[in-house]
Amino acid sequence: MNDGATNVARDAPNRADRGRLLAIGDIHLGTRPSRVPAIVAEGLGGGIASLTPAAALASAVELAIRERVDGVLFAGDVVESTNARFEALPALEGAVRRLAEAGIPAIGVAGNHDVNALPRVADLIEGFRLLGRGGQWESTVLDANAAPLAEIVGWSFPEQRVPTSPVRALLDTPLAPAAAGVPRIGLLHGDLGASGGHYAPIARQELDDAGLDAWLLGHIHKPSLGAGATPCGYLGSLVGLYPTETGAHGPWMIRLSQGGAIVPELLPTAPLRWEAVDVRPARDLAPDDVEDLLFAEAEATARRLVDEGSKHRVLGLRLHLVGPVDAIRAIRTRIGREAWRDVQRSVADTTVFIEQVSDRLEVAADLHELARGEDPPGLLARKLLLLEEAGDERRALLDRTRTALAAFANDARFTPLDDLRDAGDPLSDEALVDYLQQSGMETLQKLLGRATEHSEADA
Amino acid sequence: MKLRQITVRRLPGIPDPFTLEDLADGLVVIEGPNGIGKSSLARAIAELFWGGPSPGSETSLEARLERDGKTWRVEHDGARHRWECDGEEETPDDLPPKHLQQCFSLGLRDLLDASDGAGKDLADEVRKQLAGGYELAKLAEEIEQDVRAAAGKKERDAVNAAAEQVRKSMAQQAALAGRQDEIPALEARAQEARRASERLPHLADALALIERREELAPIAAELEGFPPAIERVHGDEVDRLDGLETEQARKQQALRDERTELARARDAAAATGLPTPIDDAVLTQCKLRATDLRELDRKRGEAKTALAEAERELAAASQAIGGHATPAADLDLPAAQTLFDFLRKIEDARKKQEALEQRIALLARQTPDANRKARIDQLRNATRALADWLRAPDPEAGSERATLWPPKRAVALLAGALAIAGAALGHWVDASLYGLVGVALGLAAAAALVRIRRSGHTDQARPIAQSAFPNAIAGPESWSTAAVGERLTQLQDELAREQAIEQRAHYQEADRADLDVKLAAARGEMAGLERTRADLAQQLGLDAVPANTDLVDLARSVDALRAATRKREAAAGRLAELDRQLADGLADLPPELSSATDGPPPDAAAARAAADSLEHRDRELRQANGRIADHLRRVGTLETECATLDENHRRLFADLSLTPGDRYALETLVSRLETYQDRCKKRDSLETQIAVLEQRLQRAGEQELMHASRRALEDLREGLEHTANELPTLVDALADTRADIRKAQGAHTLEEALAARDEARLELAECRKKRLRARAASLLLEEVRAEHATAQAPRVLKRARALFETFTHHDYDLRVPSDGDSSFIAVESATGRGRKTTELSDGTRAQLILAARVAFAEDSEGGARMPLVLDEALDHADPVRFDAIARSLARMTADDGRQILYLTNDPTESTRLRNAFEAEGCKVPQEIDLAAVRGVTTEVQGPDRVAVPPLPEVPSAEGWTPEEYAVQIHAARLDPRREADGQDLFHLLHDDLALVELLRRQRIATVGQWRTLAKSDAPLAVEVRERAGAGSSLDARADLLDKFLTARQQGRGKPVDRMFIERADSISEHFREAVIAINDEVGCDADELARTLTQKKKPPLLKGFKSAKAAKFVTSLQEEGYLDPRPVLDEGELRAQLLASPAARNVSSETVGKLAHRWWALAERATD
Repeated sequence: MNDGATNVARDAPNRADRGRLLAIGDIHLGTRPSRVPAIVAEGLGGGIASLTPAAALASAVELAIRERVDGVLFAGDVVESTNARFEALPALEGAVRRLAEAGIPAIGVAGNHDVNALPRVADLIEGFRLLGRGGQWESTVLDANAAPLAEIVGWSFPEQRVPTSPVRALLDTPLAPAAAGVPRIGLLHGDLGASGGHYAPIARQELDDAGLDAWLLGHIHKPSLGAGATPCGYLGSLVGLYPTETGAHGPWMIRLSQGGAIVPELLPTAPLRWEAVDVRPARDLAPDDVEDLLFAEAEATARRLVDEGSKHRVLGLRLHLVGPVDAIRAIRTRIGREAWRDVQRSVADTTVFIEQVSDRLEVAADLHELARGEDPPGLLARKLLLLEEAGDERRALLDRTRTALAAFANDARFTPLDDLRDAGDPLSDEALVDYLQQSGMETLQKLLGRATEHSEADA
Repeated sequence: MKLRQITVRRLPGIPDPFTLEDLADGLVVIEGPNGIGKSSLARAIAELFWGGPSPGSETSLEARLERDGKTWRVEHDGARHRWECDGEEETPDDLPPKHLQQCFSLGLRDLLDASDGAGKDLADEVRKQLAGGYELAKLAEEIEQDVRAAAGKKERDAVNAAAEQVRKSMAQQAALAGRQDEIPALEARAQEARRASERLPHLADALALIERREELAPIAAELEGFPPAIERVHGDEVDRLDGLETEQARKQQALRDERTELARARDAAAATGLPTPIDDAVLTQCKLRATDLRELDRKRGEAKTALAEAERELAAASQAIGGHATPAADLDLPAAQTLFDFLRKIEDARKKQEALEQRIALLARQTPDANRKARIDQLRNATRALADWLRAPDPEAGSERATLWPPKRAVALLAGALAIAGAALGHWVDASLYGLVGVALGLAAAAALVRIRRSGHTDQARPIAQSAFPNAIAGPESWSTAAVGERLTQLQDELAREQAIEQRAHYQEADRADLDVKLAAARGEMAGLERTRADLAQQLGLDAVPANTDLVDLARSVDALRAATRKREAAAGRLAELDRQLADGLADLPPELSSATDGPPPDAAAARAAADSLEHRDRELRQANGRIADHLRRVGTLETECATLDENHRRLFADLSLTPGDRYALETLVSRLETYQDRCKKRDSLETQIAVLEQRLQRAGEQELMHASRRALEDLREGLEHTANELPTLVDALADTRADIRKAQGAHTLEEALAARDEARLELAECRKKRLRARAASLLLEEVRAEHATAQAPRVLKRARALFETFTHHDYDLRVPSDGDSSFIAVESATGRGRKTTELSDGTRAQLILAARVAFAEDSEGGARMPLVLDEALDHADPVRFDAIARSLARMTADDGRQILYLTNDPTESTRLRNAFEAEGCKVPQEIDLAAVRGVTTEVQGPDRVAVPPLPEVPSAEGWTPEEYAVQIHAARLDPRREADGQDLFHLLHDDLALVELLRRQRIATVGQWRTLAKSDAPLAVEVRERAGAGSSLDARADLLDKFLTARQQGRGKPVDRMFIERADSISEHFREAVIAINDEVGCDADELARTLTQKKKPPLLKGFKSAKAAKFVTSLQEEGYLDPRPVLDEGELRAQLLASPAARNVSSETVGKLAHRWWALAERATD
């Protein structure tokens, strides 16, 4: 799986580097990954605690000390707000103290989750510098070998909800010109590309206009920091807390070259890794072979990731069965038994488990052929085909679906999901397409059920 | 086909024929009171086309019709039914089937059918056409089951439970955080409390200092009042004074006594007559001389006494010897010794003679026994025989016999001799000699033993020895060795005893002979002594020789006489000597003695007296002189002591600065001493305490407390005590808090709860996803069904929907449910809610059925355009709906060229119809008075019977501001709690009042009406969409309002309606009305209602209402969205959401912003 993040094999310390920084995105200390089966957690030394953000942070700190980096940057949401003080902060305090003992400065900005907690840590612990306290842009210069290495410019959430772009203030009141040869790196927690919302919506253009040499962002858990002349993007969560936080996670090594280049490198050291994999079975897949297919795919994926250098201990997989099959009803029934639950495999020191298997199987019928008819299956096939290509009709269908589903999605009984990061927007285009495709295919299968059942019986 | 004329020749209930002619094209209003025959006429017209209900009908009709320029005639008379076209018999082939005849003739009864099946026949007809060959209804039901299965209640409950745990843990940690935040304050308070606790003793010292100072002040003042001299008072001054004065008195008295005694002593000295004491040597000499004289005198007296005694003894001695003045013989002492020796000898001789006589007499009583000798012999024989027997050999034993060894025989004999000798010596000489007897017996035994050993040589020896045993002696018990031996021993012992007795008798006899000799000698000696006695008597000249005793007395008396004589002579000489010495002594006395007796003392007594007197007087003088000296010394001493006492007395007062002798002052002063000392003691104690307290305060650095007032100190102490008392609580609180913090840091309770909540949320999310998928499936299926229905739907349904929307001013849409058991559904535009015919008002239901039947009529008639007969069909419609229907009818007449016969008994309906037709620009209805036609007179009862209230005018928007125009058109204010469809269209179009006016005039006032209209291709809808400005975006604006109201409602819940309460399982019937009443009271506010139901003290109406039920009800309020826990969005957030919504794509951002702001303000105002 390619999650879009830069995932480069680590090199030995480069003599051309002026210095190196370790950048860490959302940690959410005080939480633990969801959907990890108890049997998997119990099989680990240290249980589920060995997969928590606290364990990942401790590992990152040791990495920073071992690699003798020149500073560690935190892009906010270091701790979970709900249990920060007593359960989350001690881990952070320990980490910062460990860095301080090693002479490594720690710099951070507060996110929406640690508005209160991080300033408290900064006040309590020597060696931790909070930038942008109270929503005021602030900068500090990190040294390496007695020379300025980089200027870190940061802004912290002054309160849990910030509906406006903080970068606007930076643009309105620009910083003093940077010292020659000292790159400026922005450290910010916010919602890049959002048109609104409560979490500091930022436009990419604003970041570009600010004229900094790099932007290290926190808030979105999917790492997206790209390489280039002006690296800009999310550091991502230190460890994937939900099955949707797929791909490599871990701290970023930011190399500052003698030539002024800033080269980010994601170190995939998260102890837990999630992946979503599309599995395309053969059309004639026998129901009895479903489990074998799933575990074979799981092991293959695990092996591939290990070969790619991922350092995870546990791999959780969401497998999507995609494509047409003949015995769709029987296979669906087989999938419904969830025989993969509480089963784990070991592949090269990695524990692999299947978290979920979703069904995107298709009926063994030609949608285009069906769509020629004026009967209900034909009309339905047209709608399914609509979803495959952009256009006004697709947009109208999604809008109608959104309107129709809004009351259900916003039903009061589902309000607890508003705060669930993994829940996502149930009315996003992507979600709606998913609903329509899956349910449409299932409905089509039912409409054609009689014929399909006959064909299965014949088979 | 238009009915131009109808002649009723015969109708049931109408006996008289009548004819309606020249019936117009459009609407023909046939008025007439009840009973005039309107309904009969309607049935008659139906029979014209489809015949009568039965062959035997009494109806007879004839009519003329026009169609497409042709004239048709129809005659119906009983069973006969005949058509004719332009004079030729011809039956039209496109008449609707008879079963649809009701579509062309609608009576009040048809329209008022309130049953569930009203219109069902028509709905079934539609469903048949919509089926399409697929079981869409069944599939929809399956999908609906999926939706219901994914209701999420269980998952939501799990989330709620997990969230509750999170909330609890958060609350605990929040509380703990609060406590942690309080730690510095607590520590500060604890420190303050400690300091207060430490200061309290200083406060106590300071207060004690004040108390001591306060106690000291009066004492010091009191001490100031004492005289200075009191410091020198010891308290014993009065006693000392008393003692002094007593001593003074005593000394004075002693002085006086001494002086008296001195005088007496001097008198005594004078009385001795001696001027000075006599020299001791002289006095001693005088005393010795006097003593000597006295001794001489005493001795003289003794001598005289001795002389007299000697003379008395001489006389007595002389008397003792017979009155002789001198003894007869000169019985001197040697003679007397001789006499005495004689007396001793004769006495010894007499005693010796008597002893011998006694011994002889004793020996005489122990005469030897002649029989004993014989006995001894027998015993000897017996012992011998027994010894021989024993020595003889034992014939039975055959052993060697012992023979007496001859030398041993001598030993036996020796033994016997020794035994005898021993016994004699033991008896006569010494008992120790009895040992010889023992030796002898030993020897004898040894000899006997030897003999016994040797006697066995002869077997006859034993019988011989046995025979030799004397008969006088008792033999052994048996003749055995043992018995013989034993008997031998017995006899030998007896023999020894007898032999000893015999031997002792021999010795006594010898002694008695010796004694007889000695007695004779003694008697001879006595005789000689008697002769001596005679000689003595002669020598003494005695007549007879006195007995021994008298002879002794005589000797003694003679001796006494001789002694008495010598004694008298000595006494006489002694007396004479003494007389001489006495005389000499008197003559040689010292002169001092003479002076004392006025001459020399005449005798020793006088000398002695003189010496004694002299000694006495000298002693007296000496004593007197001594006493004088003593007294003089004591007087001097006393005088000194008195002077000292006087000085002490004076000083006693002087020391106390008192007037000497002022006893009262002294007593007064001394009496105050105790008080003074007590005060001084208290003062000293207080001063000491004060000093200590001050030192302590200084050491504690609390010097300022020494100068603070009592009030200030007490206030300070009270404050400090209050602060200090908090210390244990504060310490405990700090310890508890720190322990709880450590526990919280190590427990990860909240982390676990968060994880559990996330897991539950993920399950809920999965449930929501399933539900949304199912809902999406439902949507797809519905769209497929709708499209299929649209494409395949019969014209009749489209027409019925259009008519119904028109009749209801687009308040309702018409649907045919897939459920085959129900009739049409009227969908409320404002809410989207479908209502069955039974749920509709009579008017709306009538409109629905009218629309459906008209549609079917149109569909079924082909091109015939059958006349439509409405018999009091709109009787129940309200003016607005009547107007709507009337306008629809006008359009039908104008657009479709349909003729409508409207029968009514209400004259006002004619007016309304006319107004409506005029308003639609249609031909004015033809009005026929059926009563007049039939020749029956009717009259109007009053003007109100014909007065019709005008429809509300829609004013022109010209010149009004939006707000003013809203007032003009009575626009409903924005109600944020209602859905968008129920809101007034004005709120979408406030910037396009002309459009508001246009729609208003078309009775399109609400968003829902517009949306219903917009679904159709009605010209008005097309016109509106094609308008520039607001019209082009009206749909989008409606969607924005939807989004706005939905978003604004987030976190606010929605008003609780009665229906929800009635449906709630948790509210029993008993409490239902009470809850409804409370809901009304709280303005249907869900929060307030929940609070009221769950509060501890419930209203009286809810007495007995269980808390569990209330909680369940509140839960259902949450689940149904009446209570919304989500955060309330502010205006900016709402605006952001509107801008992000799809609808915003068709409206400029500026307009969206303005609309959002306007709606926000209106909503806030409405809420206020």
